[in-house]
Amino acid sequence: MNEIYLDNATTTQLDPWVAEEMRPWLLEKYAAPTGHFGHQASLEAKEKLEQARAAIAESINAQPEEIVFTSGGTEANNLAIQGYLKSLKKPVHVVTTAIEQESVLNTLRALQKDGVELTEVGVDQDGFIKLEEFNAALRPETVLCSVQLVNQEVGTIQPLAQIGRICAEKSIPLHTDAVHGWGMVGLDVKKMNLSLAALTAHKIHGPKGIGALYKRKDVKLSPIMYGGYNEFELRPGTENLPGAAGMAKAIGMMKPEHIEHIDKLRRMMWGAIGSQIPWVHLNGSVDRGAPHILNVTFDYIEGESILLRLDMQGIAVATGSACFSKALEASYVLLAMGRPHEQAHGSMRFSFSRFNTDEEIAKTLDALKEIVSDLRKLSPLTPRKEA
Amino acid sequence: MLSYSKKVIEHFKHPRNVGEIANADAEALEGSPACGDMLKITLKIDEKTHVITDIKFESFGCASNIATASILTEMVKGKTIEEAEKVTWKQAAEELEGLPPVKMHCAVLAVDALKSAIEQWKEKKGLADKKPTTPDKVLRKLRNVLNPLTGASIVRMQLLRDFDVADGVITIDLDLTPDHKFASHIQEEIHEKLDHLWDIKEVKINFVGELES
Repeated sequence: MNEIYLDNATTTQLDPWVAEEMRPWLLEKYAAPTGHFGHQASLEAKEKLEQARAAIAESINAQPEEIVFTSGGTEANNLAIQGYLKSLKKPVHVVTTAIEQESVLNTLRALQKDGVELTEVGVDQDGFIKLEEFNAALRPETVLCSVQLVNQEVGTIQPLAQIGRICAEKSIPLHTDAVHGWGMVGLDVKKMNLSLAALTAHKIHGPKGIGALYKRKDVKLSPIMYGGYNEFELRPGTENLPGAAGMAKAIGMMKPEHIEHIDKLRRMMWGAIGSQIPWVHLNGSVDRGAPHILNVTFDYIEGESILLRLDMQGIAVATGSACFSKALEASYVLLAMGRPHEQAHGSMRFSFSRFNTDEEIAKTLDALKEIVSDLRKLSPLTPRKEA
Repeated sequence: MLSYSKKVIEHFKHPRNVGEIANADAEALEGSPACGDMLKITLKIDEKTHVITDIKFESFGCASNIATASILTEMVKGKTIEEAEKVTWKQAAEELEGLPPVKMHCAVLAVDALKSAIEQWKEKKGLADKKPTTPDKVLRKLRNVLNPLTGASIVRMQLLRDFDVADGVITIDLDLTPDHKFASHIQEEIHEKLDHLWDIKEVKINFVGELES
């Protein structure tokens, strides 16, 4: 395992207190929270599940009955998009952005084969949705908009309150993939006029395998899986109670002082990189970005090499390089932001959590300076005079 | 850590023969930073014996890009250019104790860069003449385009349905759908191998795979 973990936007360490919260529901109180007329153990489980639901609802200013537990963010996005579109019986048009996470983009692209029309709105060079383009994309037959809260690679926070107002004026439901922002930046389903929102636990020190979909009371969904009548008949399968309990505990533990600490680490890191390493670009925005994500391009070198060299020193990060991607393609988020391919290949994502320390950032910076300089000595692109 | 062999990691950490030879007898720059891998090779060649007396490389690329270039310089230093030309990307990969299939194209790039440099030297010395591009040559080049899924040639994988060379235009039909995961990567690789041929104006690639209904 890496000594210094700066890949928290991929997943986070389970908080030991969250694990403690889950333990009894795994080991002793393992009954399924079946319903209102079960045995004692099942009733107790049901009560715990509803407590978790209420806590999660409260964190986004929703009602408990508006929270549907799922297996995670991907399933929540699928249930929101597929479940909503399935409930309509007419040709539909959907508007989203070009930089959504795959569980939104690939779901919508797959539905295009079934006749759904899709508009992917562009973003500016810092990764913010082009609002004029978004406005222009809305049509009378637009039935759904899907705009993420925080971008998974560059951390930009989209202006959801503004987008929600535009959608509300035109009575178009707005879905948000809030997987990368929940607990880190403000998420208020009423202020943002949201109809649907996808959440996950494992990005905020909760367990993997549990997420939730917020579904406003008046929004009609069809299930996308069939089975028993759990979760308001929207999501069959025995409820993941330990997961739900852990998810509620995890969101409860996200304190303002943690966010401040995380934000400080990010600013410290960018401040040092920007001033001590030549030929770097920030991808995203420090002041208008989420506190935990920093994305930087190191010119003339390639990201997988940087990643592996950092890994050899026990430091875990992520890269937008094609060499690291399963499809050998550079980050579509950075390309949508207008970055040339070579800048996407040299991009690194550092993502922080409350468990990271100032010392870890200092160590990472030292390692990074050496690695970047080494790799640049090897590169045919590096300007030789100052290298 | 990725599934790289110890030897790949060794060469990545301590690459041999790094740099650029001043007053090189031949050099080649293959790949492009836009594709994510680029290699520059410079050579010193003894005119009488044809022995490669020195070879250096520079790389913009991933670990396997650096490692394959490094091992190749070791393999051919001190050899004649005729011997060096016979080195295949498979041998380079074997010498590194294997590469993940998705990274095999890096070995191809390294070998291609070396061959280009040698070819350039031979042209300079009047040892090779410019031959027109034949279907045979195109097929040889296409054998070096790999399917990243398997690391095997697209020719061997029967992804090449048809191709044609006429009036400076190469037309290639691939048995892939345009939305295939690796479609754009394979397209880039084909352009990399064929675009620079002296008598070729255009390389057209058609994706003619059956779309799922």
